[in-house]
Amino acid sequence: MGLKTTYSCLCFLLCSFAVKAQKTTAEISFQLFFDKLPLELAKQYPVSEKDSITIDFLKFYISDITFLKEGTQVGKSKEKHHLIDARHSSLYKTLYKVKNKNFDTITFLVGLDSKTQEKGIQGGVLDPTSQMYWTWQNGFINFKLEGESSLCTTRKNKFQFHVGGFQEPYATSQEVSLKAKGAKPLVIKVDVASFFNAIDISQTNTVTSPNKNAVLVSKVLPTLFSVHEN
Amino acid sequence: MKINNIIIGLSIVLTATYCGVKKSGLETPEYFPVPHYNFDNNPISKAKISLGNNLFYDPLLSANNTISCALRHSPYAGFAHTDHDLSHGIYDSVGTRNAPPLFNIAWQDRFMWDGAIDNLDAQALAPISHATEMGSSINEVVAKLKAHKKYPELFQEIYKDSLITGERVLKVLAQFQLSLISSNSKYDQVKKGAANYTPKEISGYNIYKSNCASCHAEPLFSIYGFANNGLALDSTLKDIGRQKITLNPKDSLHFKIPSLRNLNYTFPYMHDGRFKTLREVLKHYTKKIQNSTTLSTELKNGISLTKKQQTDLIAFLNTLNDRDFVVSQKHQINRSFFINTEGN
Repeated sequence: MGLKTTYSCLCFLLCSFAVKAQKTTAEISFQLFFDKLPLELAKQYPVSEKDSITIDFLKFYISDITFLKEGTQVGKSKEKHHLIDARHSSLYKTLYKVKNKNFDTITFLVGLDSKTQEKGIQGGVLDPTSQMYWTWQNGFINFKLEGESSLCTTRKNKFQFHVGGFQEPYATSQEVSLKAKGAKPLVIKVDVASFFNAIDISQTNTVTSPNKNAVLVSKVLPTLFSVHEN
Repeated sequence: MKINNIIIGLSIVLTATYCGVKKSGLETPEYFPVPHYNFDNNPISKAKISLGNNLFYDPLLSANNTISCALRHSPYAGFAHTDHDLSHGIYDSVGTRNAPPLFNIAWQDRFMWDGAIDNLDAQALAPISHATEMGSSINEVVAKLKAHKKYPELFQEIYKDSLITGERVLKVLAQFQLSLISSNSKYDQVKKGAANYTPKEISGYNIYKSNCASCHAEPLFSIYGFANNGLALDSTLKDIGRQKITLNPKDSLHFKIPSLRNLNYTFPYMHDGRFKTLREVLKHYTKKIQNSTTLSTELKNGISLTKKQQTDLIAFLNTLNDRDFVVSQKHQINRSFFINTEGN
C-alpha cells in the first residue's frame, strides 16, 4: 500500500513536471500601421490626389487572446485585457503562455466581453482615467478613433468614432480569428488604413453612442488585424 | 428539547441577520428588500464612507473649484436641488432636468431620469464631466487629489498605498451615497410599532394603496422602473426621456419613477421640476394626463380623487418625510476636514 502511494505520487510529480515543461512563455505584439508604414499620429496621409486623413487619437481594447491547435485551446495571454494606445507607441507588446509554441490559430476580442462591461468601474487598464468609460451612458468604449479629413464636411473636418455598446441589439465587441504558426515572436498588424477603405467617412464620420452605426463600424474592425509577415 | 430548538432557531435567525448586515455593511430595516447593489465589488467601510463624504462636499470636483455634488444634492433637500426647476451647474449654466434626490440608492439599478447609467460606481462620471454641471473630468479630479494637502494621506490610510485612481475615487463616492438611507419617517415608525396613524392618514394610506402603489410600491415607495405618467412634452426642452437611451419608441416620454419618500424636502417635482407643490402634482394626475401610446396603463383612465381624498392622500404622503435623515449630522459636511485646505 505504502509503495503504491509512493509510486502514484511519483507519477503525479513526473506528469506535473512534464506538463509544466511543455509550457513556454513568448511575446505577442500589436503593431499599428497606416497601410505599409507604422502609424504616426498627427501625420497627413494622402488618400487621393486632393484628400488626406490625419489620426489624432487611437485607443482600443483587446481581450482574451487565445491560442488554438486544431480547435483546442493550448494557450492564452497572461493579461485578460489590453489597452492599446497609439500615443504611447505604435507597438504594443504582451506575453502569453502556450504549450510547445504549438498552435495554428489565434483568437481575440476587439473590445471587452459583456461580463467585464457589466461589472462597471474597475482598476488597471479599465480605470475610468483611461478615458474609455462613457460618461453619459453605460459601459466602456471598445474602440476610439479620432482625427480630421478633408473628406468630412463636419466642423473642422473632424471625424470621431467612439465605438461601444454591449447590450443587444447594439453589442459591438467583435471576435477576430487569425491563422498563425507558433514560432518566433508573433506580430499582429493593425492597419488603420483598412478602416477608411471600409468606412466612407464622407458619409459616416461621427459615431459616439451605442446604435446601429456603432454596430456597422464594429463589424469592420476585425478586418484591420492580420499576422504580420516580415 | 424544545428550548434547544428555540436556541438553534434563534441562532439561525441571528446569524442570518448578522450576515445580512455584514454583507452590505449598511443598517437597514428588516422590511426593506435585498439591495440591488453588488457590495462584493465595493465592500462598505466607515473610512471609505467618510472619504466619500469629503469628496461629495468638495468643489474640487468641478473645473473651477466652485461646484460640489452637495450644491446640487443638498442634505436639507433630501439630497435633491430645490428652488430651481432645472438644476444649475458651473459658470451659472442651466441643465435640462431637475437633480433627483439621493437616498436608498442601494435598491436602485438605474440612475438618471432616463436610466442612462446602470452602475452606481460609474454615475458620478456624468456630472463630473458634463459641461453644464461640473465641467471637469475624472483625470482632472484625480490629478487635483494627488496634489492636495490632505487627500493622499486619507487614501493611504484606507488602501495602504498612496495610489489615487479613478476607480477608487468613484467607489468611495458611491459608498457615501449608499450610506444615505432614509428609513425613519412616521411610516417607518408605524412599521416598527412605535407610532400610529391618524384617521386622516389611514384614509390617505388606503387611497395611496388603490391609486399609487403599483408604481410607488412600499417600502421604498418606488419600483424604480420607468413610465410615462402623462406629462405634456415641454416644447422648449423636447425631452423624450428613456427613448433617447434605448432608441426604442416604446420608451418615449418614459422617466424614472421617483420615490414618494421625503417629498416635503425634494420639491419641485417631476424630471423637469415643473410642479412646485403636491397639489399641482395631484391636479396633473386627476385632470391633466396627456394620452399617448406610451402612457402608463395604470393611468389610461386617469385618477379620480375628490378634494377631501386629495387632502387625506397628502396627509399620508407627509408621513413619508424623514426629518431625521435630512438633519442627520453623519450625512453633513465634515467641516474640520475643510478647515485649512483652502487654496487646494
